[in-house]
Amino acid sequence: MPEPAVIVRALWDPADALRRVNGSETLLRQLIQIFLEEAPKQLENLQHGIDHSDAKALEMAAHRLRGELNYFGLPNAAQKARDFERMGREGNLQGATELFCLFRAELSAASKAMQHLLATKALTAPGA
Amino acid sequence: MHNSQAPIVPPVIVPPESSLTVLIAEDDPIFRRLLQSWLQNWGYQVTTAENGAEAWEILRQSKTPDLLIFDWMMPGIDGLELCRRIREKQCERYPYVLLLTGKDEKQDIVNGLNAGADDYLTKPFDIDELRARLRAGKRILSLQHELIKAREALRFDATHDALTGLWSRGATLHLLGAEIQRGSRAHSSTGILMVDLDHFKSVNDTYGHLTGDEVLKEAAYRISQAVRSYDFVGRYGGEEFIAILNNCTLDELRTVAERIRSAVADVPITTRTAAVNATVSIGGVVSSDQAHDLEFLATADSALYEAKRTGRNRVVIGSCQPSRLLEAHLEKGGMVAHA
Repeated sequence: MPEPAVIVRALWDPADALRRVNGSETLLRQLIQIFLEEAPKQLENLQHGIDHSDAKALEMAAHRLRGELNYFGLPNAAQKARDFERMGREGNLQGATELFCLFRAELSAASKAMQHLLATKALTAPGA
Repeated sequence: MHNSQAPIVPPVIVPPESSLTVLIAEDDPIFRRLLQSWLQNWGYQVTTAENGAEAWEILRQSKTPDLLIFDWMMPGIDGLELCRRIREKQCERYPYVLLLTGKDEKQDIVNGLNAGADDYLTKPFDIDELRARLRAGKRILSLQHELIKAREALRFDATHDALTGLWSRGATLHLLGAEIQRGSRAHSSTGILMVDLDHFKSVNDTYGHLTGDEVLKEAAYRISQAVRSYDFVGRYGGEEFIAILNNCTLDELRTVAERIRSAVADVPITTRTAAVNATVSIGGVVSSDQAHDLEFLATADSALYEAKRTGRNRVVIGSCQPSRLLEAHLEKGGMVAHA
């Protein structure tokens, strides 16, 4: 069974995110903390939008998540958010429920990876 | 305040670059935190708003910041709408608006710039790009700063007397009209003092015009120091000054007038050529509401004439019941008398 750190790296390379915040670990930790609090809320908004065919709500939640996921260097999840955003904008929610299952799983894995990293002392240390 | 300096200094409108103020309107807490952190590190004074409505409240209630960073997509009032509103608002200074957008279609960018944004940045943005775009904004703001400084200097010159730094004749008359109207609305009295240097011609004749100018400057300074901090003093003519005292009773008018008289007379004015014993004659009047500014001036002028006639270096307060006098005057088919 691979080491947790290996699983983390496969999902997400924090070096990319760290580069975006100009190497400030403190700031990156703060941003991850905010993301871990905010992402479940947005996911809930997304689900609400799908369940109630509220295209505008779907678009808003997906838009926000897309920006954040892109910023943290999670392009696959960001692409799914972009798809939701398009669905919302076009008012066509076909396939949204299926996509949501995949998206939620991906977000959950990314969140776990982030939580793991928060628990480590140095984000960029070998084996982190 | 030194007497050779203008008593009223033009206001500095734009703060130095190092303390530029920024409002960030961003509903995404991650980008809000990120922008706040970076901008604070770069020395900006940062205010944040969680949505467009909160940003608009801040913009309505306080001084408009130098730089505005609006996220395009926000629930309620979005960045585009904020751009439109801020451009419709009458701001003393032009705020530089940077629009943050996840949109990168050409038409979106055109719409953003048309709504009043100066520049845009596509998310997720790069730190170097953000910094470079803020520097571009600072350059525009610096140019604006220079223009405003030049305009304020011109405005000051246009409304102030070059020799004494007091309000010019035109500005004084304008202020008088405004004060009388304000007093009339507030049902409070406005006082006016016409102050004239005695025998000023002989100062010029004896010591020359340069000394005369020094005497005028010092007398102007002493007068401006003798009035209350919220009164206006202007140079009305050659050696004639006007003090406008808002919300002023007859007793207060007498007190200020006497203070001016003794401020000039008690200590000789030291100039480069001689110590000049200067005195002033003062004519004053207090109006109740419904006063007419021209009649008001005429009454003060008559009182000043009386002060001159009865020996100079003295204060005479005239009586003015403007509305009745003016009505009686007009009923007789008369014209309004000018000072």
